Amino acid sequence: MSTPADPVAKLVPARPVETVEGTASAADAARRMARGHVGSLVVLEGERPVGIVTDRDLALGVLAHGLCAERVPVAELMQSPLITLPESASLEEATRLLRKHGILRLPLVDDEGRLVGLISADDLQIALALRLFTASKAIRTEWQNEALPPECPSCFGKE
Amino acid sequence: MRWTKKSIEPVTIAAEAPLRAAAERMEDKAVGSLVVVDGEGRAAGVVTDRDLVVRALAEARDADELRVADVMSAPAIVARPDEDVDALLERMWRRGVRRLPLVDDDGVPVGVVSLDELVEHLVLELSDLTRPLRARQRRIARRQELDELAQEADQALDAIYERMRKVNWTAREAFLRGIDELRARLGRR
Repeated sequence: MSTPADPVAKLVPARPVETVEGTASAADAARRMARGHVGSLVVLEGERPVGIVTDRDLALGVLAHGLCAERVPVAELMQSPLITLPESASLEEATRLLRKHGILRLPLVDDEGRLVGLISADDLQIALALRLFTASKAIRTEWQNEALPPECPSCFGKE
Repeated sequence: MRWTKKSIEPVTIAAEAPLRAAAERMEDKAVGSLVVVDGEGRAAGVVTDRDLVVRALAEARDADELRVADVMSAPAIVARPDEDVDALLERMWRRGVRRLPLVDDDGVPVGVVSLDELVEHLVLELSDLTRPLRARQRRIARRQELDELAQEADQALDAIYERMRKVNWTAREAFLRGIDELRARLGRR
């Protein structure tokens, strides 16, 4: 399969992927999310990405069950196995994967399975909406171009 | 465009409730945000799972001692049930929220509308708009096919006419050969 003209990696602003060790506590994870202004962290086992934990996982996993955030390891709250997407994949493939697994975020990986980014359903929505906006500009420009000057020799401005 | 879709029941929580109750309710109702109400049932704020993480867990505050009011976003950014889609979208944009509790004249929540719902609505509208376009394209494709068939028939008849001029066929022979020729041409498609 050849690389599509618009690989999904191009649609996302380059941002470092926030990660956390599986052995870290929920409280550590919470602090990292707060500092990084993110809603999710990719969970690592050493160098290997093995899962993902979201703010909802932390809030519900810890608080709803009256546990102590300092004592619950992230590995117990994360979603795994981790579903990833090659950075060269297309927007369509990204959407299909999100739909198939009912998830909102996809870590992007390179040929060697290394984490290179993260794309969310929001990013894809923005990319598609921008395309629609360009389409609407195309419609407007077509209208403008059709407006012939009054001296047009073919119709003498009558049409 | 008035937002007239029946909106979902808002899930609420009392401002004085302990944080744990808010987390439990989110889990129970499978939602990520709750409308916080005061003693009179009026919308006083909104609390999300993110608020629980960023304002409680990350701050190492003792969750047992906190109430919803300590971590909620207040005042609640709300909308009236009769506001139109443009107003709702604009407010979500300007205030940076994904959800708007809908409140009545007394400020009591009667519904909630989310950005995702609005986007879905807009997408369906667009999809409906492309329907006449697709139907038209199908008609054009069918017309082109018919044009091609007519051309083939024309050429077949021309060929027969040419041969008729060169060969001395009876009208009946010419007619039968004409049908054979047409069939052959149409069969080749």
